[in-house]
Amino acid sequence: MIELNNVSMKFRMANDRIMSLKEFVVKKISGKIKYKEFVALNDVSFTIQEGEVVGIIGGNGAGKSTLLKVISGILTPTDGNAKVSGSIAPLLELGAGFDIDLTARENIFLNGAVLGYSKKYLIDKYDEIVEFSELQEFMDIPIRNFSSGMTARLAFSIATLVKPDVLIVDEILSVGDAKFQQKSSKRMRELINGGATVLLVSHSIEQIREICTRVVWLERGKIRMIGNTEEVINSYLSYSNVNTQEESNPTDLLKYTEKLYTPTYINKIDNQYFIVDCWHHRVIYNNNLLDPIKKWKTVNGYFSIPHTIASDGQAYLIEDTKNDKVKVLQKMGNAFNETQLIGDIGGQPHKIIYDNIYKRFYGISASSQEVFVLKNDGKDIIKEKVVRLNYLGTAYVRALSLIDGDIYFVSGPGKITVAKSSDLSFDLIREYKVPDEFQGMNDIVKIGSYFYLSVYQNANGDIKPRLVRVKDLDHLHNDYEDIYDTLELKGVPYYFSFIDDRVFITEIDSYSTVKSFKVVDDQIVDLQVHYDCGVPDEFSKKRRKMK
Amino acid sequence: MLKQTVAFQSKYGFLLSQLVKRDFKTKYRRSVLGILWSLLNPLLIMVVQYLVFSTLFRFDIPNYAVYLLSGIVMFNYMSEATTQSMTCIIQNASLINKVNVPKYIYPFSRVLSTGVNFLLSLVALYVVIIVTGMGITFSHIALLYGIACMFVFIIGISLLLSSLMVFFRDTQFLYSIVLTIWTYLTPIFYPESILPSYMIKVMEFNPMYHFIRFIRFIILHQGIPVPKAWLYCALFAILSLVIGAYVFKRNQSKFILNL
Repeated sequence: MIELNNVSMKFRMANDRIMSLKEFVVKKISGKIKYKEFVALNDVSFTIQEGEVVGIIGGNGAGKSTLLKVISGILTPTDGNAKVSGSIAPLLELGAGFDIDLTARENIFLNGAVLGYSKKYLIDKYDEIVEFSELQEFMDIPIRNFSSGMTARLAFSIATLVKPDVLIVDEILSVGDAKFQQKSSKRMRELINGGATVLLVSHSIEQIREICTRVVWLERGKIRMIGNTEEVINSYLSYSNVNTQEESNPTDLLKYTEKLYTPTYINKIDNQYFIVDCWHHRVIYNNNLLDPIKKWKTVNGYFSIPHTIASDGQAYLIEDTKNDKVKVLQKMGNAFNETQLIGDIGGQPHKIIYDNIYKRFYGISASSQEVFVLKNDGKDIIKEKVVRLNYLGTAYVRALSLIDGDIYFVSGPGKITVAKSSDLSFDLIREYKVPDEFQGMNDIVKIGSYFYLSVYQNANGDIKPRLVRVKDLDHLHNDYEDIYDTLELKGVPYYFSFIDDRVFITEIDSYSTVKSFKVVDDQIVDLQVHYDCGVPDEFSKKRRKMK
Repeated sequence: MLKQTVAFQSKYGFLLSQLVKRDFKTKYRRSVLGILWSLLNPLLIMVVQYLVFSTLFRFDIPNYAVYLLSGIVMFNYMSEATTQSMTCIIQNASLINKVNVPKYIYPFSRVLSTGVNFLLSLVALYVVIIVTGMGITFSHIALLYGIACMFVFIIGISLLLSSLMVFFRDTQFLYSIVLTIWTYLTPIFYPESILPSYMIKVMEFNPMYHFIRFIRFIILHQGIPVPKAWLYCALFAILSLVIGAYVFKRNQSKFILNL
């Protein structure tokens, strides 16, 4: 645990640094010593719990490195105090204490000692260090003869051997050539995910976004903002962007987090509710449906227009639709962190579902009409099959649904398509023609004896939201029942989901809600509105445009 | 105190040993004779000074070679260790900026690594003692006390100098002059007897005079020094350590701001 109480760090800078006694005496007597006070940290307080991964962001000279030095005990704060429990491993700079005249072997022990390892530990781990650095043949050569890349590799291999309680990382995540960079960034990840409390300073917002559960934004020595990664980073980015024109208020920019904008999907996994807040580019979660949206926590990472979340209980899959990727997350402690990124699965992955019987995920890439099958091999999510389905033509296929063991695709080109999924052949079984007004379908489910269809656009592409149900899909032309008003809808009904004994439907675009109802003997009863966020405000619209 | 020492040893003992090893290894790395220089250096200085002072100035000191070498060995340790320690904080700036270990470990390691040198030159001293046919008696055990006192004294001076050096870089130039004066103010190559009486009084304030006199008495007279000599050694050792440690402790948190 790290606790900072009103920490201030002031440096007294003489206008010229006085380096000689004579100068000092002369200036002291003549009263010419003028000090400028420089406040590197100004009344900084926060607490970091065990196991948290906290990022520190801010411009140059914001006080980030000073903060790390205060926490690691190198600097004593002018005011306030910093309490740290547990062993600290500073990873501040690679190769601290390397002596170029010593051989690599000798440097391992010297540097290891500097980093606080015991002799026994170093002897035990010696082979591991050498192996990781891939410098076996060079161990008895003075490192003066090493290239900078080799030195960095050696240093990295030693420094990342730690198993500390508190890990401090200042901008080093990968070194060496391309191959070693991969290896080293993997090692960094292992280290960070190893359960230690981590403090990471980085100028790479992407890294922070991926790794950290919480972010501290420092500016001119003060905490400008502290909190959830997404929120802080978003305000930081928009602040940096608009900084030149106007002093914008970060709390304004965060107002969107109190609402939903186009919630495409709601799901309950492992007693946790997830809402995919599509046009806010985020996925949020909470353990009940009663808390206001601003109380919900945000899944780590930035998702560009995500649509659904699916899980086998271990891995959580969310589409990064605009980037043609699927992100795999895992629960670590109280947070969800990205562990894998899956690409090459077609254009705009749009919906993923989990097949409980065959223990695999099916996904549909909307703009390339490709279906992808993913499997959890216990460690990683692997691609089992990616195939383009020619019978879907050039339609924008928003959804696939498992109904009675077969897969239903909507929208095919003017039709609903049923395909065989059990043997992964995706052979066409049958098709249902749909009338013009239902051409742009969002989702299809079967509840009781009815098929339920949500619709976005008509054949001309005009937004004409519909929600209908029908017993036989062949009678879609004449025998459907319109239930749009029954569910008191105002926007576009989107994806259905089944949670406990209720059916959930999300409402998007012009009006955002999350609703649920029960179906008893094909009667819709007990309609509940969980979240009614109404028409989007300017903050939501701003957020939607943000990249 | 003992508990602290043990805790320190288990936590920083390895680092200390590594720092000492580094200093020692890098000192003679790439030289042909290597570690032998620790033996040869004091011997060669002794030979030169022996020739100069015993033939040119004709000092009449019995066992002049041992007299000379014992002074050289002791004084050299003091001057080498303090000079090396003086710059250690500055030279280890990159480490101090990054790793939080007790800062006194740096001067301490320098005193220890030059101490290894000192031990080797002690070997040279004993070679000369044996070659010149002087006996070694049990009283030589008392040497340990004299050396220990000087060791503590050196640590005190090192702590003081290394902290001064951080704030005033002139210290090193000033100190080299001080060392030269100090060399002449200490009876290393000349006998005490040539000093005028007022200089003997001044000498009383020279710690090195007491340390060297202490060990010379044991080696040359093969006896145990008088209690007053023991007291002087202890006094200077403790005084130096107290002052050095106080100054160092007071200022160590400011080091980093001046590196």
